[in-house]
Amino acid sequence: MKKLEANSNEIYVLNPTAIPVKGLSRSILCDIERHVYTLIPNALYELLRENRTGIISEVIYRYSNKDELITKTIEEYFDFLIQGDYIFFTNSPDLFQPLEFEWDYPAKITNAIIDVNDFTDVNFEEILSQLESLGCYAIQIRLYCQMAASEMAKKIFEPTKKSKIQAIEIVLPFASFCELDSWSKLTDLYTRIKYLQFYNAPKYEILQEFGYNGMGLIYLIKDNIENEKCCGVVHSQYFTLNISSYTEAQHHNTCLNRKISIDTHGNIKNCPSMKESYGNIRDTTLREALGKPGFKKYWNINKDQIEVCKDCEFRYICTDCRAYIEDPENIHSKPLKCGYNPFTCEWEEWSTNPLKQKAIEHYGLEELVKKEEKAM
Amino acid sequence: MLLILSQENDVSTVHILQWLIHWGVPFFRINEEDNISVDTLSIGPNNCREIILMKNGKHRLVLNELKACWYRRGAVHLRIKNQFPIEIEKPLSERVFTHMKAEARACEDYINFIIESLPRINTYNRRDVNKLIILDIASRIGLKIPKTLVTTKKEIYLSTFGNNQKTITKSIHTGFDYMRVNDEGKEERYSTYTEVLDFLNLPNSFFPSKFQEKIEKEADIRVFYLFGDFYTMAIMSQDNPQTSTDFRKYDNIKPNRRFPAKLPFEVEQKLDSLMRAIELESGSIDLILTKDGEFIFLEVNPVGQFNMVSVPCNYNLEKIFAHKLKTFLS
Ligand code: SF4
Ligand code: SF4
Repeated sequence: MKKLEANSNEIYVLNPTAIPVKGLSRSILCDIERHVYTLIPNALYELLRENRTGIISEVIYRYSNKDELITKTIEEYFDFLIQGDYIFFTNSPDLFQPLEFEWDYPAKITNAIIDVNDFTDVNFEEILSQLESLGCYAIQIRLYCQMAASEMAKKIFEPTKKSKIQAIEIVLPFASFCELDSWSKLTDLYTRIKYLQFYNAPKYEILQEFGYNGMGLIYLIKDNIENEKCCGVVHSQYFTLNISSYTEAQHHNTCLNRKISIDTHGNIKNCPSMKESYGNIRDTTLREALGKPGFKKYWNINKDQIEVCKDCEFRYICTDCRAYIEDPENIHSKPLKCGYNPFTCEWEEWSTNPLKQKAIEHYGLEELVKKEEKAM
Repeated sequence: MLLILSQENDVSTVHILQWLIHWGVPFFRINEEDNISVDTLSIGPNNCREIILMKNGKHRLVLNELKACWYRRGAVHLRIKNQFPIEIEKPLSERVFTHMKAEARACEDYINFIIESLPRINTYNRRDVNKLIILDIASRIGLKIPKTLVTTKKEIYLSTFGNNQKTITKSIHTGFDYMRVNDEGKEERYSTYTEVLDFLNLPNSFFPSKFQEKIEKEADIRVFYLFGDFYTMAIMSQDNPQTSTDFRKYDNIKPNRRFPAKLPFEVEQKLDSLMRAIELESGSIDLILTKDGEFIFLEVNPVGQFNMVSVPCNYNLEKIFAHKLKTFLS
């Protein structure tokens, strides 16, 4: 507490990059500069909301009414804020401004998913060049069938060598793995590979770390991603916290905004799991599909409009899923595959929740859910 | 059509162009590395002119149809070859080549003159700003500046600063940066940073060097300036001895925190006067915030890096800047 005493009569300011978000029962403090968040009580949230800047001793005086217990609690709060480097002391508090939450990006499409199984007939060269012309910089290719490294080089990477797409993520079955060497070579040769994720592996393991350029990760996961129905799971390990995702989340859907996808049948959709198709890649260009009415209908649904999520402290760092929702009749209902309850602050298994069984049936997810239970 | 003058590897240019492409704004980019030749350069009666340039032998630019220009970096270079249709012997051939270069130079000057008359952001003639002149103008405008001395003698240093005042030494003009690969194949880098001076080590006389009083600071302030608008970032560096002199020596362990900020109105007004006086439409400005809340002006850089301020403060300067260019066309 030494530091607190030394500073208690100086003017503090809450870091503009430390942003408190209030939930039903607790809050979080998002540090978007360091990409981490911390749980805080709602009382501290209120204190910070009302006192973005101030003098600690005065704040304590005003709130505690000389009550020792309250004084001690507020002192602890400030101690936490100082230790965590969430506030700083200055003689020029007016200089510092809260962060603006504007978001925009110079592209019609920023990210895409291409799903591939044994029956998929795709021309990657053509698709990637179409995506490039829409400004897309990140692509995820999900393979529900096996593919060897050499085949992938020939089919996907060689023809698109000159493409300006910056990052390609590959998700494929562990059965394709064989040995690390051939995949390592692939990431060395094609530096646009962000990661290779092998699913349905015996264990979770990172086999090759990101390189100096933030690319080329190779890792194994245990989950089985056998088709697009496996997507949409909400979990704290998928939370993202950086300035661009955080500001985008203020205005847009964290999964579907500026996304375009091609499902295994070649249907052009916002996401492969959605019912609505806007044409087939055989006879429709991505640009045409994007221009059709309805394509962008989920793009501006942010978490503030979604039931339950709007009261959840994680709403701006969480992914949102609109393909699988608790009430398929209600476009604003909570993601089906989230087990978090912002009232109790508990994570529960979503698939066994009795209230969700109807929706699970609606989407035909019973088989997957059963398999997962066995695996657990 | 918008003209953009830059260099091949300039990332900020790419970020701006992304927006222009996204909005379908027509532009023509010339990099310093490009081979530019004059196709037509005609000045006729009745205020009529036609100037057509070729880029790398294939792209045609009608200069007189341009609506605006953004000068980022580099220069329009007319390439001439040291070749002659007949054999000419040495000193004469050298004289002829020098003459040819001067002739080409006259065309370049004319091209720059035409470009300069367009609505624009910055220009070739203002690409290099003299730090001493700017400091002088800043002081005249009423901005606070650090006490600055250029001298060759320790004696004068001591009579100016005494032996208690902490000082720093800085390059008079631009920093020095040199990279080489040593015998073991490792990269070695030599560069000048702003350093705290130990005057005891000063010889009695030396090459002209610049000294400035060292100011105890609360934060470094970096401003991106565009036509009277200010986008300001504070870089908190006081708690961190490793970076308290020059924040460019990035500290990887505990990064300096960077926050959006807003300068007091009078400071902005003075900086605006300064930028107008030196005729820069855009640039980045460095200041120091002292512990007493004073702003000390340090320098202006006409080619500020956009994303350094844009990303941490979420200003999206690239979009704002590109939008400014777009409005030139409407
Ligand atoms: S909307 Fe849901 S199913 Fe579709 S991509 Fe996003 S998370 Fe996956
Ligand atoms: S309730 Fe909503 S915001 Fe909260 S974790 Fe679940 S899906 Fe994310």
